[in-house]
Amino acid sequence: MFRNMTRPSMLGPWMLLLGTLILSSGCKKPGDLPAGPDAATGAKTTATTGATAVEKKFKVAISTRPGQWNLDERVRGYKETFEKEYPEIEVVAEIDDETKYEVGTREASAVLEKFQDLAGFAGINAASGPGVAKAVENAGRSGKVVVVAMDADSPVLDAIEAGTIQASVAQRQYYMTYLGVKYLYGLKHKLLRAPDDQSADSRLPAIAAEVDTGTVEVTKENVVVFRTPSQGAKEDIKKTHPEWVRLLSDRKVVGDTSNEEYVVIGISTGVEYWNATREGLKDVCAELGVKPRFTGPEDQNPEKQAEELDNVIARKPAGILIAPGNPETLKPYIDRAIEEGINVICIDTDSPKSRRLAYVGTSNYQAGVMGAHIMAKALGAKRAGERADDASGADSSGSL
Amino acid sequence: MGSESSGPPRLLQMEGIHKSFGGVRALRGVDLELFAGEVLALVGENGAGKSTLMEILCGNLRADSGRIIYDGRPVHFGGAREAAFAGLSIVHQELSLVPYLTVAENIFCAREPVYPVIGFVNRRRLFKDAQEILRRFDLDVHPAATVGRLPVALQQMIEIAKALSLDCRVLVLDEPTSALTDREARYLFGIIHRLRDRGVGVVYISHKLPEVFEIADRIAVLRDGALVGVRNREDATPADVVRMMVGREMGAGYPDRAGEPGPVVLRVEGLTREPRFRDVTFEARAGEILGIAGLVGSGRTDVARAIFGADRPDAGTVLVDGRPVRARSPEDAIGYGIAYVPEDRKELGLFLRLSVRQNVAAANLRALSRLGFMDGKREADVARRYVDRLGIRTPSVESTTSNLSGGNQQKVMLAKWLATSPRVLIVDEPTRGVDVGAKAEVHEILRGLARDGVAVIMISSELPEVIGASDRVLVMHEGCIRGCLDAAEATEERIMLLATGQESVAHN
Amino acid sequence: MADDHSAPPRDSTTTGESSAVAEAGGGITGAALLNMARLREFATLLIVIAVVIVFHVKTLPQTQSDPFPSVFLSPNNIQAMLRGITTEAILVVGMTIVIVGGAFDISVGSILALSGLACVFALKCGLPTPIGVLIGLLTGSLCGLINGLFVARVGISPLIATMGMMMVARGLVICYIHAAGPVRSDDLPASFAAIGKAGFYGVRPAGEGGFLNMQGFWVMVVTLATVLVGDVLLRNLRWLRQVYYMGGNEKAAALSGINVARVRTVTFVITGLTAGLAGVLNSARYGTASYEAGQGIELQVIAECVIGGASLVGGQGTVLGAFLGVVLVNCIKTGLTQTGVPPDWRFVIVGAALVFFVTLDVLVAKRRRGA
Repeated sequence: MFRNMTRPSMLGPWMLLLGTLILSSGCKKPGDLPAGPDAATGAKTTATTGATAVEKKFKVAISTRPGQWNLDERVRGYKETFEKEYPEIEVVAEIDDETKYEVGTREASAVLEKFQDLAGFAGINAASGPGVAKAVENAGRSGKVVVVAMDADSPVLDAIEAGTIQASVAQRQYYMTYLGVKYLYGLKHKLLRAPDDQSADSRLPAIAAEVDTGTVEVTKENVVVFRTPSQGAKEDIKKTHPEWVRLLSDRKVVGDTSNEEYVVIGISTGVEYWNATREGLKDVCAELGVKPRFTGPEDQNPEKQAEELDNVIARKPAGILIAPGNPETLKPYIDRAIEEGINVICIDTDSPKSRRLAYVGTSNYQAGVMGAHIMAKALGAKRAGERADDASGADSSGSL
Repeated sequence: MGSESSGPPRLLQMEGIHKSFGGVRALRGVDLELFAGEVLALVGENGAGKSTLMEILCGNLRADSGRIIYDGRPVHFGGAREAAFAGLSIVHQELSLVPYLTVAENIFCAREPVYPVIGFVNRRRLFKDAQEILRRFDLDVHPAATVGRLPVALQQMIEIAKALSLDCRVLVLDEPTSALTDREARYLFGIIHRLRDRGVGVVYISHKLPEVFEIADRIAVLRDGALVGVRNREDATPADVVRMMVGREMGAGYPDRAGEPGPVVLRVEGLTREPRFRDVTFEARAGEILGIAGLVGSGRTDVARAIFGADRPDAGTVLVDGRPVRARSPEDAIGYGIAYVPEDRKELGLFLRLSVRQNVAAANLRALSRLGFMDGKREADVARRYVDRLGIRTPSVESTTSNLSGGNQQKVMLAKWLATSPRVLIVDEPTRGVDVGAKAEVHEILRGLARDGVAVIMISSELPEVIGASDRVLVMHEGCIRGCLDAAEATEERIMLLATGQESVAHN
Repeated sequence: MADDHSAPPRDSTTTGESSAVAEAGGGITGAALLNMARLREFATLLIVIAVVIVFHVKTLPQTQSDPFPSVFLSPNNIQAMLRGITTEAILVVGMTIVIVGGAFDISVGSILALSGLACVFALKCGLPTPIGVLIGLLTGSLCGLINGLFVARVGISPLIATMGMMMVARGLVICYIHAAGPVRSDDLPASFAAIGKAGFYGVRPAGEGGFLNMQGFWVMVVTLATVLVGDVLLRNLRWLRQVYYMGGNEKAAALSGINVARVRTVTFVITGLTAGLAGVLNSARYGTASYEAGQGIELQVIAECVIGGASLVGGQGTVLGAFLGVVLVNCIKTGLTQTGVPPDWRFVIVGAALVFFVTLDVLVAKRRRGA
C-alpha cells in the first residue's frame, strides 16, 4: 500500500501538505498572532505596546463576520477602545462565525483550546454570543471566560439568565423606528423641517441630523425587560425620552392620513432583531393614524435591499426608514428617493454620504466602544493612566 | 491495384510501436505502412489493438516506443485536432457530431468562417462552403438541417464529410458501417473509392469480412497487439483472414442445433402497443432459439420491452409456463423468469463505471443478499463463476467494466441475466459491435442455454446470424408478424421478402 | 423472485471447480475487495493524518517542560472538534446517498432549520420530548419526500426541485418567527436541553480538570452512530445497493429490475431525515430555532462528499469517505484558526483545497482509465 505513496498520482496529497505547511509557517509561531484582517490595526497595536509597555494581562478574542459593514465598525470600536484605554487587554484572535451558532461554537472552541488563559470573548453579531457561550460551556470554562454579546435575541437572553453570557450590548430598535416615523410624519405634513432645508419655514422646529438612540447593557438584573418584543422600550420611552412622546402630540389634524404609508426597510430581516423594530413601527403608526409597512431581504444582501428600495419608491410612500446593509451600495438609491420627493431617514446604520435627511440609531462604532467598556469592567482591567476602580462609565443608554 | 509496387508514394509509416497499459501490453512492436491511393483494411478481434494503434497515430495516446513517419518526416501529433490539420483525419465508430447544431456548423465545428476583426460567424459563407462540401459527396441534405433529426446513416456521412473537408490525405474509418444499411454502406464504398482514386490513403477498420474483401486493397491483421500479417486482397480468402485473426481454424460458425424442443415456455397472445406493434402472437419453447428478424423500426425491440414490462402494452397477454404474467415493471418480469438483454450496451445495459462484480449482481440483488444485506463474498463468487464460464477476459471481477472490450462487455451483460436463472431470455442484437471470436462464443452460450431448457429469443438484424443460430425465425414488418420460418426453410431472400412486407405466411 | 439461488441449476457440473477457485482465491479476494473500496478513503485518511501532524507541530506549546500534547491534539480540542463537526457529519450521510444516486440536494440547510423549528414548536405546545423529536425528524423526512417526488415522479431536475424546497423551507421558518416570535429555551422541557448538554450518563466533570469532559456526549454518540450505520448500510444493504446502480446508469438500472423512481425518492427522504436529525440536535444544543441555522451548509456538505471521493456523476462514494472529508475540512479550519490565520484567508484556503482535491481525483481517474 505504501508503494502508492511514491507514485505520481499520489503527488496531490503531498502537495496539499506542503501548501498547508507553507501557509501556516507564514504565520510564524503560534501565539504570536493578534490576527486581524486589518494590517493597520495590527501595526497600531504593536506601536501602543511598544510605547507603554504595559503587561498584557487579559487575552480577549472576537467573534464576528468579517466583511459585514456594521460589524466591522463594532469590531473597530472594540479594538480601538482596548488599545487606547485598556493597555492590559490584548486581542489575540478574531474568528468568523458566519452568523451561525454552530460555526461560532466550532471556531470559538478552537480559540479556547489554543489560549487556555483566555479571559474574554466578545460577540459582535447577534449569533456570536450564544455560539461562543456554548463553546465556553463545552470547554468547562463557564465563569472563567467573560462573554459579552450583542443585541437581545432570546438565545442571548437565555444565556444571560443561565450565566454563560455576562452581558450584552443591546440597541434600541424601538426608539429608532418610533422617532424616525415621527420625523417623517412631521416632514411630510410640514410640521417639522429638515436640518439644512433653507426653503422650509424657518419658524418650524428642525429635526436633529443625527440622533444617537444609545445602547443598553443587558445583564442578569434587567434581562426580563428585554423579553418583550419592544425590549421594554415601550414602557421606558416615557421616562427616558419624554420629548419624543410629546413630539407631534399636539399636531393639527391635516385631513385623512390613514392611507399614508410609512415603510421600514431592514436587512437580514429573518433575524429576531427586527421584532422590536416592527413593534415600534406598529405603535407609532397607530399613534399617528397611518399605515405601517415593513420589508427588506431576509439575508444580508445589500444589492437585494437596493432593489427593494427601488420597488418601495415606486409605491410613493409617505416616508422611508432604511437600515442600509452597505451605505455605499445604497447611497445612489437613497438619493434617487430624495429626488423623487420621498423623505428618507436612516436607522440602525447610517449612510452619511447620501442625501438622507437624518440618522436615528446607534453608532455601530459606539456599540463596540460600549462592549469594550463592559468587557474591561468585567475583567477588572485598568484604564490607561488611571486607577483600577475607575473603569466604568459604560452605561450610555440615557444619551440622546 | 498494384499497391505493393514501389510506384505510389508511401504516405505513412509506423515503426515498432509499443504500448503498455499498466501491466498489459496492448501493442508489441507493430510496423505498418500506408500508401497513397490505397485502402488498407485493419482487422482483428476486439482488444487486438486496432483502436489503440489509431489513437497513437492521431496523438491521443503516446506510444512507449516506436515512431511514426508521415510524409517522409517523423511526426508526433498532440491530438486528433492537430492531426486533422496536418491532413490525417479519423472518423470514430461513435459519432462526434453535436445533435443540436446544423449540418454546416458541425462540418466546420470550431473553424467556422468569421468576419474579419469582429469575429462573428459568417453564416452565409458557412452555409455556402458546407453546401459545396455536401455537393462534392452528393449528399442530399440542407446545410441548415439540424443534425440530430437526420437518419444515423446520413449523420455518419456528415461525419466523414467533416473529416474530408480538411484536405485530408490519410483517412481512418473506424467501423463506419456499423450503423448503416446495406444500401448506405454501398454508397459509402463509392465515396471511399473516389477518395482512393484521388490519392487519399484510407485505413478501414471493420469486423465485417465481406465488406473488407469488397473494398480493401490490402488487409492487415492484428492479434494480441502484434501484426500477424498483411495480405493483398487477391491473395487472401476470408477463411485465411479469420484464421489469422483468431489464431485457429474456425468452424462453420454456428453451433449445432438441439434436438426436439421442449414444452412451450413463453406464449404471447395479441400483444399490442400502438403505434409500435399490434396483435403480436407467438410462442417460444424450452430448448429452442427463436430468432426475430425484421428491419430496424419494425417493432422487434418494442415487443421485447413490452414482454419485459419496460413498456405497458395496450392489449394482449403474456404467459410463462401457462401462467399469465402481469408484469408492470422489469422487476415483476424478472420474478416470472423473464430476462432481457438490451441492444444498446452503453446506454441501457451496463454500469460502465461500476465493476464486473457489481454489474453481474445488478439484477440479482435479492439472491445475493441475506436478511437484506449484500453478501460480498457470494457476489464475488458468482461473478467469478460467470467470468470463468463465459470466458470473460478481465484482470479481476473488481475491474471497471468500461475497461473491457465490447465482446467482454456483452458477456458481462449476459452474465447478469444468466445469474437470474431465467426461463425466457430475450437478447437484442447480441453480437453488435462484437468481433468474430466473441461472436461465436456468444452463439455458443445461447445454444448452451437453450440446451439447458431456456427459451431463448434472439433479435438480430444480421440475417446470416438469424438463419444460422435460430431454430425458428419470426419476421416482423411494421409492427406485425409477417411469418415464421423453420430453420430449414429460412433463407436470406425469404426473410427479406417478409421483412419488407412483400409476402406473408401463416405462422404458428 | 421465483428462485432464491444465485447460480442456475444447470451449473451443477461446473459448480465444483468454480467454487474451488473461489475457495482458493477467497482470502485474496477479500483483501482485494477491501482495497478497492477503501483505497480512496485510505488516501483521504492519509491526508487527514498529514494535516493533523502539521497542525500538531505548529501548535506545540512553547515551554520545554510540557512538550505534549499540542493545542491541536489536546483531548479537549479533539472533543471540541468532534462537537464542531456533528451537524455536517450527519448531513453528509444523507448527502452521500443522494450523490451516489446521481443527484444532489441543496435544501438540507433549510430543512435543518425547518425541522429544528418544528421540533421546538411541538415542544413549546407542550408535547413530550420524544414526540417533539419525532416531529422534527418527520418534518425533515416529509420535506425530503416532497423533493423526491418532484425529482423522481414529476421529473424536475434535482437542482430546481431542491432549490425550491430550500427557499420554501427557509421562508416558512421566517414566517413562523415573524408571526409567533422567538423561541425561548425556557419554553422547552429540560429533557430536551439535556440531549444537547448531557455528558456521559449525565456526569459533568467540572472545569477543564477532567481528561475528557464529555460535554454533549450524546450528540457525539448520535453523530458517530449515524455515520457508522450510514456507512455500513450504504455499503451492504441490498436496498441501498440499488442506489449505486441508479447512479451508475439509470436506464440500465431500470432494465435490471430496479424501481428507479422509488429508489430516487427514498434517497431524498433519507437526506431529509438526516437534515431533520441535524436540525433537532442543533435546536437541542442551542435551545432555540434560528433563521440562520444551516444557511449555506449545503454546498459545504456537497463539497465534503466530493473531497471524500463521491462523484457528482453518481455511482461512486462512501459515507466513511465523506465523513473523512468533513474531518479534513474541519481540521484545516480549526488548525488555521489555531495557528492564527485570519478568518478572511480561510475561505481562500478551503476553496483552493476543494478544487485541488477534485482536480487530483480527476487526474487519478484519468490515469487509471488509461491503464
